[in-house]
Order: sequence, then structure tokens, then C-alpha cells
Amino acid sequence: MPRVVLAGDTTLTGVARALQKRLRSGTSKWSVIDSDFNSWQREAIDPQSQFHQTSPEILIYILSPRVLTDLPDIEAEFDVFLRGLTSVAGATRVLCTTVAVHPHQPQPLIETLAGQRIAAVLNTKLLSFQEQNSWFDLIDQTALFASHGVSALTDARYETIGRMYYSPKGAELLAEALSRAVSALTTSPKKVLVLDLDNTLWSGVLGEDGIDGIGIGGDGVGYAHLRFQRAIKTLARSGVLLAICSKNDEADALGALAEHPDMALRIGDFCAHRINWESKCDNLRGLAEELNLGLDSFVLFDDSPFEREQVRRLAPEIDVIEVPADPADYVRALADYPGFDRFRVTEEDRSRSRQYLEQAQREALKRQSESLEEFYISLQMHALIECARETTLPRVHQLIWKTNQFNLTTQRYDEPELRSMMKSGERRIVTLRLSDKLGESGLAGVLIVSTAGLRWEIDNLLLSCRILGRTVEYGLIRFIAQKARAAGACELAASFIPSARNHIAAGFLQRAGFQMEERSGKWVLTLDKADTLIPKDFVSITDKVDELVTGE
Amino acid sequence: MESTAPLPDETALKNVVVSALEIAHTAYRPDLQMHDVPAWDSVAHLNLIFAIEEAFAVKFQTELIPQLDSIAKLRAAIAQGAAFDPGSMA
Repeated sequence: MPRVVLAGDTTLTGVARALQKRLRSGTSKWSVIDSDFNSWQREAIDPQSQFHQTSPEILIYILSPRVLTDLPDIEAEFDVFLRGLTSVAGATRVLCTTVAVHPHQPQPLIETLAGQRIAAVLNTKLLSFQEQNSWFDLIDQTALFASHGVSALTDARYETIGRMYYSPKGAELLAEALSRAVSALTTSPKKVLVLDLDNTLWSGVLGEDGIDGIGIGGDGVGYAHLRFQRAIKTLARSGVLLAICSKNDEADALGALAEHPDMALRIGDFCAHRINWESKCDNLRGLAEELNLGLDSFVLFDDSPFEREQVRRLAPEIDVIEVPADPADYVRALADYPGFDRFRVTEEDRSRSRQYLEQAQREALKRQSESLEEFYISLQMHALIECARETTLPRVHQLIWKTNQFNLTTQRYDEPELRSMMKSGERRIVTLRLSDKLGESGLAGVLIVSTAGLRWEIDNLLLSCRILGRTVEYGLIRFIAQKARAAGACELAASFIPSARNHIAAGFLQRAGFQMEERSGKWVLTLDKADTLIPKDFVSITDKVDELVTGE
Repeated sequence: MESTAPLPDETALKNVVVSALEIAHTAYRPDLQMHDVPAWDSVAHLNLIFAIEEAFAVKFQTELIPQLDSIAKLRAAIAQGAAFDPGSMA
């Protein structure tokens, strides 16, 4: 049963109950425990604290606006707080609210601004702490106050009775924001936003109104669609892939996206499209196949209630956003949809769309090539292999959780586990970064191996689907086999654990020359024959791994 | 004076209590007291007061809130608003 501990400067029992209720509506049976009143400064350092007694998966700090006015030297206390927090590093994910200003101050023309100044200092400290610590994330409390208002969040009577800054209503609203944040921490975000065109990206019907008749930009409803396009562009910058699925004439639609002067989105922003008169569901399945992603990574935004209903019914894996009747509300609908939530954007996230376009070019190159071998050679693939580092850990973690297809064991590790693995040296985490003449694929392979003794054991091997089918997997196995052999090992062992999604990896070990060892149920590669057993690869490798062998 | 104040709708009151305290409809009685109901603790009490204030458009004085520890007192307080004196029912 996963646990959350809440710590703060005010009574949080109501928030804890509301949050537990929300979290339990999902599949995991979360329990949420509120720590002692005003425990925030000692929660991390006091061995008797709720946090140390419970070892929760997630620790949430809720700092009410009262910290700004009720503590004599909040800046200094904040430094102590953050220093104390570093002692929990790695054990737990930590969420913390930013600090907001309570507006009802005496002499408000002076005091609320003075509060804003201190809040800015504290929030800057929090932001740089977040930047430095991958296990620490922030929830914007000012946004919560802006959305709901101080009279919805707090009530002086309840505060008087129970030192409960957040009223029952406020606790409910805070719990709503917190549960969305917990989901963002514990589930992987959706990958693709599929958009309709007519009355979604612009107003009007292109086939009837023509390129000069559709509404995008300018005044009136076209402005709403422009704002929507810009919001989508922001989403895309965080790594969400965009695709088009529309009943339209393909040439006309592509022409409008290329030539209309006021579009914020252009055809290059989309990694795939299906513009035809086929059914949406068939087209969505086609897009999933083309992008090599599961339907459950897709989200549809389509103004037509009929299409939405049909997709909900025939492809229930896809999230369908309920689109408001008024295009002016589209941006809000997109913001309220939690499926794309993420706390951090990695380099890989930012370049994802470009990588899918490069992949399409690779497919084209493959079709033009005389043979597979010629295609592989023409790609001029290059791999950089190194050990995981603190800077690459977030991406390693992301791959471990997101890779379902080429994943030998689907063994998931959270960041603290990976970090302690990195430190203990019992197992090594090896990463692979691939580039070819069309571009960078980024960090796309992870191999975890224990390197003690005569038999090295692969704990897991996974490759992002975007680098599959290019012999990289054989290159990586050959690399590890050579390292093992050089260290004096005789065998390399690995397991395959079937999951619902990893059938693509099923035959890999056998193809790579491993043989089933009956007594252990493991696949074993005899290292002195490895070179001839492992199929040829076409990847040149730069070896940047530190010593892989475990110390005595 | 007390007899002239209209009493709140009993079904509405029951629904608010049952949902705020998260108890079964069958566990509800019009004469429930806070100490009879394990789920009716201090936090649930504030949730209940909040729910009642919303449902019946009333607002209780801070001092009164902890004293409204039975359905009977809640009923009377909703009906009489500021005029309600919990001492009269102790």
C-alpha cells in the first residue's frame, strides 16, 4: 500500500482525508497520513517524525501563506529547511507548495507587496532546489489562489477553531491539485495529441469556406483558435507529439497549413497525419502503427461529439478530451486535461518530434535501399556507451518506466533504487546514445548488469522502440560480452520475462546466441564463442564506460 | 420566539449529514449525537458544518461551531441562526 505523508505549518487532517479519498478512486490503495501540526521544519531531520516512522513513497510539504507573516526570520528558517531536506535525498519523492501571499493584511498597500517580495525570495530558493534535485518538485500555490480565490480556500473561523488555514472547501481544492500532482509523479504521461482540423484548429470548414474563408487569427472566433494553436505549440515543446486526424481533402488541408499566413502551427509541427475520409478509429490505429506507439498513448481533441463518441466506444484505450462548445474555452479544456502532466522536460522530450520526423526519413531510405545491409551501412550509425550519471538518471528512469516493447524483464526501478544501484556498485547501469547521419536519437538504451565473478548477469536490457531494427541491440550485447570477457568472465546470463507488451523482445536472446540453461531457467551466452554467435551489427561504438567490474 | 422559526427540511438535513460524515443512510437517526458516531470526529465536524452552511445558506459564529454537537442542535441552529443559544439545549 503506497503512502503519502503531509507536513506543513497548519492543520492538514482535512487535506489528508480529502487527498486519500481522491487517490483511492484510482487503482492503487494509497494511504495519506498528516504529520504533526507545524512539523515542516523538523519532518526531514527528526527520527521520530511521521516521515521517518512511515517511510512514505511521497512526502508533501504544504506551506500556507502564514509562514510569511508568522515566522520572525522566514528566510533563514527556509535555508535550514532546505538543508534538512537534502538528508532525505533519494529515499522518497518530495513535493512542496510554493509560497503564496494572503491578501487580507493591515496596511495592504504596503504589506501585501512586502509579502510578495519575501515570497519571491523563498520561491526562488525552492525553484533552484528543484533544479538541483531530481526527487524534489513544486506545486504552484499562487496558481491555486488565483484560480479559486482566498475566500474559497480559507475561512478565518476554521483557522480560529482548529489552526486549520485551509477550510473544508480549501482542503478539497488543495487535494484536487495534489492528487493531480501525485498522478503526474506515478503515471507516465500520454505521448500524442491527435487533432481534428475544421472547427478545431480553425473555425469553419475548409472544403466549403476555402483557405480564405476559414477563421484563424485576426478578431473574433479566429483569435480563439489562434490561442488554441499557440497552447498546443507550448504543449509540443514539452515533448508531446502532435498528429492530425481529419476528414478533409489532404492536399487542401496541407496547403492551408503551409500557406495560410496566420497559423501558429505548421505542418512541420506534426509528426504524422491522416487526412482522408476513412473512419477516425481506423485512422487512429494507423497512426499508432506508424508511430510505433500503443493506442493508450493517444489523446484526441475533436470538436465533433459524434467522432468523440465513436472513438470512446470503439477505441476506449484513447483518452478523448471533452471539447467545450465554445472555441474560446478550448485552451482551458486542454489545461484541465491532466494526461500530459509532467514535472520535468528532458532533452529527449524536447527533441522527440524531430526524432519521429527523422524516423520517417529512415523508413524512406530503407525503401530505397537495395538490401538491408546497404541500408544499415548508409545510416552511418554511431553509439556512445557510458555508465549512468546523476545527469542522465532522469532519462534512464523515464526509459525504464516507459519502455514496454523491447524490454527483457519489464523490471521497473524508481529513482532512489537506481541511485543506490549506481552508488553501491553491485550492479552497473550502462546507457547507450545513438546517432546516425539523419540525427540524434539521444539516450535510447539501458542495460543493467551485475559484473561480479565468472558469470555476468544482465538484470535488464531495454531499448526505445525508435532505435529498434537497426542491429543496435546486437552491438550493445557484443560490447558487454567483450567487457565481460576482458574482465575474465566466461558467461553472460540474462532472463526474459514475458509481459503483455514485450513480445518483440521474445526471441532476442536466442538470436543473439544465448542458450537456455535448464537448471536455472536463464539464457546464457558462452563468451569465448560470443563473437561468432552474436549477429553482425553496423554500429561504431565509442566506449566511455568507467570500470565496469565490481571491486573486491 | 423559538417556535416561530421554520425548521430545516429533514430529508435535506439527513442527506447533508450522511454525505459529510460519510456514514450509511441506515446509520442516521434524527437524534444522533457527535459522541455516538465514531466517524464524527473534530475534522468531520468542520466538514459537516461547512456542508450545512452551504446547503442551508447559514453562517455560524466561530464560538458556536464546536458546540453544535448533535443533530438536534444543528437543526435548531439552522432554524434560528444567530438567535440560537446552545445553552438552552444542553
